[in-house]
Amino acid sequence: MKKRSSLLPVLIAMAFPFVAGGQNTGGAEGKPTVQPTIMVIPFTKEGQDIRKVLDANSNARVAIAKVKEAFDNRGFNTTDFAAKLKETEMRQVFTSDNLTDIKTQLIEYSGADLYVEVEANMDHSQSGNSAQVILSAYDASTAASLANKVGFSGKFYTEDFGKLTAKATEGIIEDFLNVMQTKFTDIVENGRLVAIEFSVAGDSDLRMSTEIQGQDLPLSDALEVWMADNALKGNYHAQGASDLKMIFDVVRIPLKDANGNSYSTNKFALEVFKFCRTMVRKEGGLKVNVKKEVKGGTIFITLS
Amino acid sequence: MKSISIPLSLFLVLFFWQCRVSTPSVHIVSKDGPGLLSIAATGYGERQVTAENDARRLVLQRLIFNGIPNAAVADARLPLLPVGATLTDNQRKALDEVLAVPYSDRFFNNLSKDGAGRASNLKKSRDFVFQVNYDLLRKELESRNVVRKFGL
Repeated sequence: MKKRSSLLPVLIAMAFPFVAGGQNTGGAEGKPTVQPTIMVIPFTKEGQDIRKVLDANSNARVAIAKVKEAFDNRGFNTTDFAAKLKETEMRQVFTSDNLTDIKTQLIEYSGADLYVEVEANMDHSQSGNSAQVILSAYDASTAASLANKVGFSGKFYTEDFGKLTAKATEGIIEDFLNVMQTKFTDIVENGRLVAIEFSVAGDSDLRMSTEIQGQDLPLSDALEVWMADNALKGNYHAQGASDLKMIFDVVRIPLKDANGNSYSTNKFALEVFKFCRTMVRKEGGLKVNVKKEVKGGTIFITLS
Repeated sequence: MKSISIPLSLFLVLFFWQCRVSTPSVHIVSKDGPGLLSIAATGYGERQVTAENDARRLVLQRLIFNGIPNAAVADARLPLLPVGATLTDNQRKALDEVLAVPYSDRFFNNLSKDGAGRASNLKKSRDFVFQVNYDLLRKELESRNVVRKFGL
C-alpha cells in the first residue's frame, strides 16, 4: 500500500506533460480561449420572413439539423436558432418590421460570432428528383466569408426530399467544416477580425482632414498610422474615408494578450478609445471627444 | 550469334519491365458512412503483411499530410494537418505512435481485398482496399494535440 502511494506522484508527473503541453498552434496549450459562438440559420430570399421559413420548409429543417449534428460531432455547440428566435420575439427586440432588418437584428442579438446560412432547394423532374444544399459560413461582425459549399443529392425516383436533403448535406459537411477549421487556424495564427468605424458627430466641426497636434497629420492619417502600429502584424484594411467617416473593414487583433488572457473586441476598443482621447486639434488646441460602442465584432467610434 | 540475340533481347526487355518503378497510388473508393472511407492503396514488400502495413502507413500519411481529393467524396480533400504546419517534438512523437503498427490497426475496420493484384516488378507491390475510420483518426490526433480541435 505504501509502495502504491509513493508511486502516485511519479505517475502524475509522467502524465502531466501529455495534459499540459505539446501544441504549438494555439488553443490546446495554455489558458483556454473563449470559443466563437456559431448559429445555423436558414437562407432567406428578399421579402421572406426568417421567422416563417423554418415552419414552411421541412427540408431546410433537415439540412439545419444535419449541419448542427456535424458541429456536435466535432465537439462544438451551436446556438439554437429556433430558441433564440423565440427568445428574441419574447423580449420584443425586433424594432422594425423590415424583414431584412429582422435577420440582422437576430444575428446581432444572438451574440453569435459566426453564422452558417443553409439553403435547401428541391428539383422535380421526369428523370428523377434531387436536392441541392448551399452552405455559407460568415463572420457576423465583418461579413467575411469563411466557407462555402454546394451539395447535390443526385437524381432519384423518390418523393422523400428529406432524405435527399440529408444526402446532399452529408456529402459536403465534412469538407465544409474542414475549410472552416483552416480559417480558424488562420485566425489563431494571424488574429481575429474586427471592423472599426470612425465617424464625426453631426453637431461637430471636426473633420477627417483636421490636423492633429504633435503628429502633424490629418485625423484620418493619424488613425491609419495608429492602426498600422496596433493591428496584429500590421494587418488591417481601410475600406475608405470621407470627411466625416473612416471605416476599417478588416483589422486583425490577437486572440490572447501578452499574459495569455483572452483579448476581446472590447479590450481593443478600449485601446482605440484611449488613443483617440489623447488627440488634440492643432488649430485651437481643443481635445477630441470620443464615444465608443461595440456591437458584436464591430467597434463604432464617434469623434467630436 | 543470331540464335542468342533474340532470347537475349527478350530477356532484357523482360528484365527492365520487371525493374520499372511504379508510383504508389492512394485513392478514395467510396464513402461508406459518416467518418468511414474506403481507400485503395498500393503497398510494397516481399511478404503480404509487409506490403499491407506499407499500404496502411501510406493511407494514414496521405490523410494526415496531403489529403486525398476525390470527385465524389470530398471528406478527406484537405489534410488533417494544415499545409506547412510545423510539429513540436511532442507532437512528432505522438504522431509516430499513432502511425506505428499495431496501434494504427484501430483506424482500419476491414480489408476488403488482399494483395491479389501483385504487380510484375521486383518490389512486389500489392493493391489493397481498406475501410478507414477517418473520424476516429481525427479524434485520436486531436486528443494527442497533434491536430487542433474544431474552433479557436
